Amino acid sequence: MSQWSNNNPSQNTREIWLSYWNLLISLVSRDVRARYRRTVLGPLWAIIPAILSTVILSFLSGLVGASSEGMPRLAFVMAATVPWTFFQSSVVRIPHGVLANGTILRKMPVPRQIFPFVVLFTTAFDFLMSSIVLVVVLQLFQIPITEAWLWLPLLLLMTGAMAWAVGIGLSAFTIYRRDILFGIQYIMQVWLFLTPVMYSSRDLLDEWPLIYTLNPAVPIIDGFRQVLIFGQAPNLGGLLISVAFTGLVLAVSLPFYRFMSRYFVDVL
Amino acid sequence: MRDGWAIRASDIWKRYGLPVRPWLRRQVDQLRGGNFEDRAAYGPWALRDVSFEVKQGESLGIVGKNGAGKSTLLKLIAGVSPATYGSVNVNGRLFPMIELAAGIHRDLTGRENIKLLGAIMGFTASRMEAKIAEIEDFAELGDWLEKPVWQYSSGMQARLGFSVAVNVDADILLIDEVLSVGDVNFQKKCLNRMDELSNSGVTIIFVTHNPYSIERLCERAIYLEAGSIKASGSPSEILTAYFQGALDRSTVIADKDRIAADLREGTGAFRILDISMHDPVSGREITGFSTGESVLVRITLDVREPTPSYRFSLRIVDPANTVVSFIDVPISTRQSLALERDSVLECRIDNINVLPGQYWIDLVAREVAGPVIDSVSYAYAFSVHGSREVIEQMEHRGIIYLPASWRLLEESELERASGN
Repeated sequence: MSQWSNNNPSQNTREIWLSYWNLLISLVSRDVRARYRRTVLGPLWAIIPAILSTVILSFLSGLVGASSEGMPRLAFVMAATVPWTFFQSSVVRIPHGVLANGTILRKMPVPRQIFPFVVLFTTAFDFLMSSIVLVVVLQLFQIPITEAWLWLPLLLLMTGAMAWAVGIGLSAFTIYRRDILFGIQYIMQVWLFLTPVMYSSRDLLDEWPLIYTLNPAVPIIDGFRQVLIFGQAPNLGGLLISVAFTGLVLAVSLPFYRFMSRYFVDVL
Repeated sequence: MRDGWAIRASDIWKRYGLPVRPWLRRQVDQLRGGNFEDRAAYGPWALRDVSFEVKQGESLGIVGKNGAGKSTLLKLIAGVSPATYGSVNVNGRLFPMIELAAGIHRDLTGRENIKLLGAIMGFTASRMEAKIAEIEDFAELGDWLEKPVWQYSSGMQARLGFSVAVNVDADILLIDEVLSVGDVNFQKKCLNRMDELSNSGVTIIFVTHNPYSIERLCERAIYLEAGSIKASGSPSEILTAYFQGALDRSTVIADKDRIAADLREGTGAFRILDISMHDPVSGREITGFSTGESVLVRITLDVREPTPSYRFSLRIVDPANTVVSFIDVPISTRQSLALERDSVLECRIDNINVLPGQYWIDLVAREVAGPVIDSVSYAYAFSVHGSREVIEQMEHRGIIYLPASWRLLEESELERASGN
């Protein structure tokens, strides 16, 4: 309703924010609930991708003899795989999510910026579920919980922000042409291999220092591992680069998305 | 509420697609050697120069053929698509009931979907909580509310969407052909609900192909053709304009010769060559008369084989293709209509008591218990004008005219009635 776009006298700011919130929560709960309703394994699918990726990447990691810096390989790889899966599936799913809500976008003047957030919250739900498994695994390998874990909310926020910034840029283009839907999987696979998930960040720094510096995902993903496995603070200088990257992408992708989403009906 | 207007559209032009940026505009101008401001050259336009205003509490109907721009106009009002030029202003909370299934998720239950639709419409969770009982009550879905929507029939899905739509407190409702779903009882309920809303001051914009629902629901209507407003006025004026357009393109027997007649379906024992209507008194041909007058219909037949007995029917149809009346030859009369040679069949109709408007006659001739001999759809078009009494009584509503008179019962008559 033009409740969304209209400044109705009977509505105060608080109520408008509450209706935004209700829409976000309703759409997220729709996606979380409806997604697995017609499956056999049901909500287990929220954690299966992260577990399977961990197993595969650990196997590969062992196969090529990558260093796990003396820590148990499974825990070492999983600590980076779980946040990476959150990042990757957010980037991949945001354009899909915007398209999938086309029927709503075409009929209702709902705020267009909400759909990337819906995807982000849904993948964050999967992340939290997988995190429980991760904590169990860490306990099994007797890796302690330390005060460094207080960095985790910040790291999570930064992962989400970066995925959001990249994702809305891709969505804006996807509204116009669909190429990205086909290509994005492969781009993310390359990005995964350029990020220290199945190998250690020290090896990356030694072998390809340029990629270590330029890949904005490195400080965040490695930050998770430093905190979870080694109980150390993440590399703050690196994190600043990630923030700068997110800011730069956002400066382009947000106006682009806002423009394109106005014409969603016209070109979709 | 304060200003008295609900929707104001001024000089809107709409072209689909991404807007052309000024720098690109200059390039195109140079290439084409034209002027971009020459709008005609840069179509196609879904809407061109449309302006209108809707007052608060008014109900406006929008008619037009497919592709005339009705849905585009609704999208612009709803605010899901921006106008290329001009502006649309909306005063009040608006709810677009454009395609009610939008937003319904097939894997969720009816109740979950009601909450979801509420959220999409912009309600807070607590407001929706207060509304939900009323909505569920209106939907009459009972235990189905617990079942996933993919198990619903399409009518049930529409009921779900409609129930949410009419129970939210909107100031302005946009309705696009949604009443064509659901069974008769539910349609009635919906129409009643719309009347209620309309009476309570809700502004309604209603788009439809069914002209009678416009008459039923709207105080005013506009007629769109090829993206422009062709006429605007009372529903009956608009319907006349709309059907006039349709009439011009009808197939009033184009093939009035034997060869063309043979191309039609049917056994061809005889062929319908011509049809005309005549004034019963003067006998001269007429194509228009007043409600309640009598008329002669004469049908010229080209008889190839002697046909002793057959059925012949006239069907009077209105522009919405409703059969207003069906006139067959009674069995007792059939004997007297045996065909030996080329003949002219005459049918006298007393008191054509139909609403003023445009009508067609369809003709069908068939063997008594057998195949069609010949048939012509839209064989003849005629118009009916209303006398003053007819128009006063019917206000351009309904289909048939029942002559009626009114009075108050006398005191003495009342006693007699109650003593009975």
